[in-house]
Amino acid sequence: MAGQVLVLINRLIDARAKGNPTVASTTRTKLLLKGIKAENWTPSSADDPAMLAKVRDVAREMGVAI
Amino acid sequence: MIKTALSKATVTAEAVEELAAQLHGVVASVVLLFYSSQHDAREVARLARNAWPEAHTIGCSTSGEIVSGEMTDGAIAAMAIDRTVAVEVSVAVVSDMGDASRVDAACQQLGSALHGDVGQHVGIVLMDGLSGKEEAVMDRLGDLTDLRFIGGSSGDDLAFSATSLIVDGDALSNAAVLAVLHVPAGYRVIKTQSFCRAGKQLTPTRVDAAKREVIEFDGKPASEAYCEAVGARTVEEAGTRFMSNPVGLMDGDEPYVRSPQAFDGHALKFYCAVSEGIELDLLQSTDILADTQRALAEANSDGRVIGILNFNCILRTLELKAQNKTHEYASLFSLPTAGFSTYGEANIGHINQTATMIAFLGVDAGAEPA
Repeated sequence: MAGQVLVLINRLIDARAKGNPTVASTTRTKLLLKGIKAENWTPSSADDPAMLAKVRDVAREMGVAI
Repeated sequence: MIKTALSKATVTAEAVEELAAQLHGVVASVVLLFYSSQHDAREVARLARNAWPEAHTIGCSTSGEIVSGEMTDGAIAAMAIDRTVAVEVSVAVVSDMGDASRVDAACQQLGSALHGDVGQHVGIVLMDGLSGKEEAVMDRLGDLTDLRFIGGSSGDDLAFSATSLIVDGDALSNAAVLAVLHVPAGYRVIKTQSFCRAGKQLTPTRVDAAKREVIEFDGKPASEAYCEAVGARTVEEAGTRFMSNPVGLMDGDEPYVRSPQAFDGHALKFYCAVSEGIELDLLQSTDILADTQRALAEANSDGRVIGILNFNCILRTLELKAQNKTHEYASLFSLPTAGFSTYGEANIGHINQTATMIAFLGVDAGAEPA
């Protein structure tokens, strides 16, 4: 498998933004400030277990189910 | 209506009296006061509460004040926002910035205001500028709400000894004041940092986040890597480049500036925390005046802005002072503007060497409120 980090990041952003592009943009910036740079991850990126765990942790802190 | 005021009176009671006279006629929902640390915070808090008993009164100590046309030291700048602009204001205090659970408690206190329409609700955050905990507060705040919180860290006229905040009659330290304003006509955020990419990147590979230190960039001692990046032969020479060559966490083309503070052995200490593993762009300073003028023109291209709150980094103020351009800078703000020179700026996260501003909008005569 590959690309799971991007999948989780996008799920998190979509769940938080609920279709609001302004919130999607600020959520992306919040992730960046937490050390998750969405643009560094592509559908072919390796499934880095540490980053997958980090995205899940952040989602939990933000109260988002992914 | 938004009205601003400035008093240079050194006696606090006289200063607040002057501000009240200048703000006369505004039925305020909130009055913001940015006061020099030469004023006693408890006095400012008490007098402000008495002067505007029907409004929330919030503010903090500064390292310089800003109003339209003037940047000062030793004064008090104020902004009164009336009830047609901010129809509702909710205020809460994070009483200990070192305890994340206090952010949760403050947010709980803000209740439904925290989950209002993001286009009509804006947050103001004022934090103790000597706490070193701004990242934690902003991070948790961002977890708990989608509202945009803009603000700054309190100063103390560069004494780096004690800063303060005020809220509704009380004076506080090691605290953060949160306010949510319901502004039906809307608002815009202005963020201008006056830097461009210098064409080099540094990736922190070992950091001490709690100490805001990078120990290694790209596997090399941070001091060596920064010296190489700026082309300095010694750390002393590199130290003179901190102001003009900070680093930026890039969000597309938008830098979130991290300013180096000092070398600590081979480590590089910053004014805000830096994440491990995320590349940073070396930045090159550009013209503060030109960038600010452009940002203000963009934000008010339709003429709807009626007042601006400006949280301007003290490092930018020092640069303007060194160039003898403070009057020119302040004169760019022809609309009612108040603010202060900060020990750090808040805009989604904690940042450096930036001006973050809230531009409040008036109702477009030809349109319904947003």
